[in-house]
Parts: sequence; structure tokens; C-alpha cells
Amino acid sequence: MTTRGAVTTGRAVTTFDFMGKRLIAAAVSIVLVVASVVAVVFVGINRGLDFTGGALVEFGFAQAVDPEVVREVLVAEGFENGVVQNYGSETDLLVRMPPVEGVDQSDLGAEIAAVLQGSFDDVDLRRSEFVGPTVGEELTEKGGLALLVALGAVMLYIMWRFTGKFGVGAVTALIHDVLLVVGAFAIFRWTFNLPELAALLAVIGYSLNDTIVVSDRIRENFRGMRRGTPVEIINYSLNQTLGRTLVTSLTTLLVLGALLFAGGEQVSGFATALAIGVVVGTYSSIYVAANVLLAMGISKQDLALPDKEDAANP
Amino acid sequence: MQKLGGSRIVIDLPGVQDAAEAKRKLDKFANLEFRLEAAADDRPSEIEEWPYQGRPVQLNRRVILTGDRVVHAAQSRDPETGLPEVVIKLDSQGGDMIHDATAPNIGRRMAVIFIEHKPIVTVEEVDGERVERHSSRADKRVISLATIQSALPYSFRITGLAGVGEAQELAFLLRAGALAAPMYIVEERTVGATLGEENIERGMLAVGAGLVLVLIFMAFYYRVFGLVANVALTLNLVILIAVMSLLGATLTLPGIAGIVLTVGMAVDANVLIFSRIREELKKRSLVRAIHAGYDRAFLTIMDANVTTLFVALVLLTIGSGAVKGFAITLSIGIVTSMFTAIFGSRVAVDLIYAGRRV
Repeated sequence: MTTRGAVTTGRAVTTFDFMGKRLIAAAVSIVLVVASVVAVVFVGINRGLDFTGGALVEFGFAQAVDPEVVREVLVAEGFENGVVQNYGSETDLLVRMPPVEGVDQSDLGAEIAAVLQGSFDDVDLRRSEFVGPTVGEELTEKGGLALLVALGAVMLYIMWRFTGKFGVGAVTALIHDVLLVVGAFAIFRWTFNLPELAALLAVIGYSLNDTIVVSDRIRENFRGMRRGTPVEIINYSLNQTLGRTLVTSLTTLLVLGALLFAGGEQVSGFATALAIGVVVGTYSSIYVAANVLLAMGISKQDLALPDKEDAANP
Repeated sequence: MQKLGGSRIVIDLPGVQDAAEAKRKLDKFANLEFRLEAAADDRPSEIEEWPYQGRPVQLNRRVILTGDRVVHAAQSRDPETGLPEVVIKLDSQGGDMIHDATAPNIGRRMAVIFIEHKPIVTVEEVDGERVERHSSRADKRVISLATIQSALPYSFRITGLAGVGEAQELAFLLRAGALAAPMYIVEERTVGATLGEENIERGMLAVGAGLVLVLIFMAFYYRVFGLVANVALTLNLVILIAVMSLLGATLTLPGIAGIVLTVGMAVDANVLIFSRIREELKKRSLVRAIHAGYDRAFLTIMDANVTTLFVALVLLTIGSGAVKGFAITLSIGIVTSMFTAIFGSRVAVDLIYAGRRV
């Protein structure tokens, strides 16, 4: 089924029947969301040092030592996800290690010391302590609340500028995207640290941007096109914005791709999270937001202008 | 900032070059006491004598409120007389406290006492081991004595100051005293970067390489408009980085996340405008299409950016550390990208197409 709504542009617009496959898309989305939730709840997120806290161990070496070499030694012995830093001078080293399975919290410092003393000469354990997480409980609690506040504010703004149905659509797409990215971290057991949290926040921004742009065109066509069913109008709008959607996603992915391949190991988790977010965000702006609109029975009456076109806009 | 055991905290200050300066700021913990001047019928046991500007004043021992209730203090000028004054804001509880204390005492004077805790570290030998003992000495002095003109609400002014210099000094002391707990630095070290400067540099280099790819793609895909977009994009990044360095922000990974998202949104704004112009071109002349394209795309860009800005601002108010770094970069980035995409590129497009008749 192709749409031939208003012939407002003579430009060749693609005529993909996006909404014809909306039930399949809905099924895929629901399966992925459920899988993500199940993974997060039952497998859990592999929280990194920033969230868990862990052992803080300080060593003095006889000679200058490269933190990277020490880190590799620790990883080889099963102590992954630690942070190794020079501390004060090149011979002093600070190791921060999240809790390791099968090792008692209080023994962690001693175990790390044993590994290093086995691999390097003259290693002096200066101090071993437990540190709390960088991300305090306060932030975790306040963060959750703040996200709700932010979502509420976004919803209100969209309800004011669009209608309530668009607000629900955008927020659904947003939650969908965040859940899938978090789900991917749970399923693949990637470490989730502060940079990944930042990436997740960026995904929220990206997803919103994408959804609003598409919604904006749908609203415009609902007002401007005389004929056509809601499915036809939405299909037409998605095709009109398809070029822009792809160009924007492609350019963002170009930057992320460079970051992923050239940015080094430490940046990879962060770049991966963002890349997944961009792909999922692009998909959701086409399928999730529009799908929700149709499911809620969007019609021209929802968007009837009180007065002349766009005069309602401030 | 991390908790270390019960009463200790670790503060990581990324990018602070002058550790001594940071230490000085952390070291000086001060407090304030707001007290009434002694009245004639106060019992002698309630009265304390203090020196103030070379003369003794008698103050009541009762403390109305302490520095932790002070939210803000700033030097300003009386809008009518132009004389220097200090505006003080308290939190809501502090507002109630000062209101209750001043309402029955209009015409009496109120003093502000500045208390500076100076840490003293003494080293003792205990069982052959050196043990550091921490204590503090409090230096107290009266920094202000002013007549209460009315029952004070949570925000009030201290007027009748000798000059701007005195007002600045007073505001500074009031702000310094707004933090309460005395604190000692147990240990201070310069730590190598977690990510390593190398990694941040590599990250930035990678973002730079990605950007070049984006610029090339835009130039090929949108031709003249692509070049305009590239100018706007570059300008955007220059402004963003300039503003960030003005604010003294340190570049961290979350900051890079903010930059990547900003680049994405800036490209998007331009793409929105140009695809709109292409559409409008089919039914209007070039100049009209350009106008229509910018006007229509502006609404879309506005909606998309305002919603994202909401999220950024919420993150800014609640977040700390990494989250805040991201939110700051993103907030600045949204503003600069809207500015460059809408005004910057518009100027360029108008310049290129201005004289042309279509």
C-alpha cells in the first residue's frame, strides 16, 4: 500500500509502507523490552567500581612502574574491572578494585597484594581500605526521582506543543530506548560505570530529539493533508523524514564509530552504549512513537487547530 | 567524592593544577552566628562583651541562627540611594528563625559573628608510634552590627556600610561562613588520571576524526548547503569549547558524550533546515524556499532542543561529578548549536544567495 496523500512536494519521496509492518515491529519491540527487563532483573547489571565501591590498595614499588602493565597482571589473575593509577609518584601505585566473586570483601586488598608481590620485586603494601562508591546512594535515589521529573516535564511540554497522545508516544519511545540499552548491558555482561551512565543520558537526549522531529512532521501532515487515513498520513510523514532520520543517525554513528575503533579500550563501553542507543533511537522514532499514536487512535480531531495554522505556536 | 570509612571523605578534583590553592579553600572552614545586641533588661549572665570596630559591644549569648542556614550573600547597591549594601538569603527554616527573633526586637541591633576554624595538627608519640591529633582553634570576631528595621523575612539587606569594599568583604565572609562542619585534611596527593590523559587525548582525537568524516559526508551529500552546515558545525564546536574553557570545565568522558550528542544535534538542525528547503523549492522560488525552510524547521528544532534542554537542566540540578559534566556540556551545546544552526548558517546562506534572482 502506498500513500498518495497531498501532492505538496514534487520531490521523489520514498514510499515504504512502514506502518504496514507495525504489528511485527510492535511484537519485536515488546519481545526486546521484556527480554531486557528480565535480563536486568534476573541477571542484573554488571556494575562497575563507580557504583559498587571496593578495595582501595596502595603500593610502593622499588622502581617506576607502568599502571597498564600492573592492570594486565591483575586481569590475568581474574581481578577485572579495577582501576590502576600512579599515586603521587611513579613508584607509588593505587589500585581500586570492585568486589570480586568468591573473594571476601575484607581479603580483597590482601589478595591483590599477593598477586602483585608474586609478579613484581619489592612491592610494599602501604595501605588497604574499603572505599564507598563514587555514585552515592543519594545520587542513585535522587537520580531516579529526577529522571521521573524530567520525563514529566518533557511530557507536559509535548502535551502543550502537540497533544497528550504525542507525549505518551515520545515518552514510550524514550523508555523503550533506555530499557534496550540497559538490557544489552545486562545480557552481554558489559561493565556499567559512570561513562556508560553518561552515554545512557545522551541516549535519552538523542531519542527525544529524533522522536520530536518525526512527531512534528506527523502533526503537520495531519493538519495539512485533506485526505488519507491516519496510517497513510503517518506513512507519508515517515517517508518524508526518512532522509533526514538516516543522515542524522549516520553522521552520529560516524563519530561513534571513530570513537569505538580509535578511542581505546576505556572508551569502548561508552561508545557501544551510545551506538546501540542511536540505532534503537532511530528505530523507535519510526516504529514505537508512531505505533503508539495509532494504537491510541490518533485522528485529525486531536490536532484540530483552535485558530489559523501555527498561530498557536508561541 | 567518595566516602572512606565513617568520618572521612575522598575528594577528587579533576584538572586542578594548583593543589595548594585547592587545599587552602578546603582548609578554611568557617561558620556564622547571628545574635542580638544585649538589651537593658537582659540578665548579666546572658551578656557577652565583644570588640567591634575598636569599641566594645554587649551581645546576648543566645544564637538566633548559624551559617548553615545562609543560602547566599552578595554585595549590591540600594536601588534608590545607590549606597552599597549586602543582600542575604536564608533557607526557609532560617527565614522563620530570623523572623521570630527580629519581630519583637525592632529597633534593637543585631550582630553577625564570623567564626573561623583553624585546624591544628599535633604529632605525639604513643607506644613508639607517631600519632596525629586533630583539633581546632576557633577565631571569632564581630563582622557586622546593624539596627533591625523590621521583622526580617528569609531575604534581607544590611545597609549603612562604609563603602563598596566593606560590602564586598562582608558578603565574602558571610558566604564563607555559610558552610558548617570543621574539617582537616588527612592526606593530599596528586593522582594520575584514571583514564590517563593519553586516553582522553585518544578519545578527542577519535571524535575529531569522526567529525572530519561527518564534514566530508555533509559536503558531498548537501553540496553548497553542506559546506554552510560545516561552517556552522565548526563554529558551534569552537564556541562550545570556548565557553567550556571560560567556565574552567575539565574535559572528561561524559563531557565527550555531551560533545558527541551536541554534534549530532547540530548536524540534525542543519539537515532539517536543508531538507525542508529542498521540499519548499518544489513550490516556491529559491529565496522564498530558503525563508520558508528556515521558518518551518525552526519550530521543529526548537521543540526538539527545548525538550532535550529540560532533561539536561534536570540532570544539572541533581547530578554531581560525571552526570553534571555531561549536563553542563549538553546544555551549553544545545544553546550554541541552536545559535549556529539557525543564525550562523542563515547568515551564510543569505550571503551566498542574497543577490541572486530566481
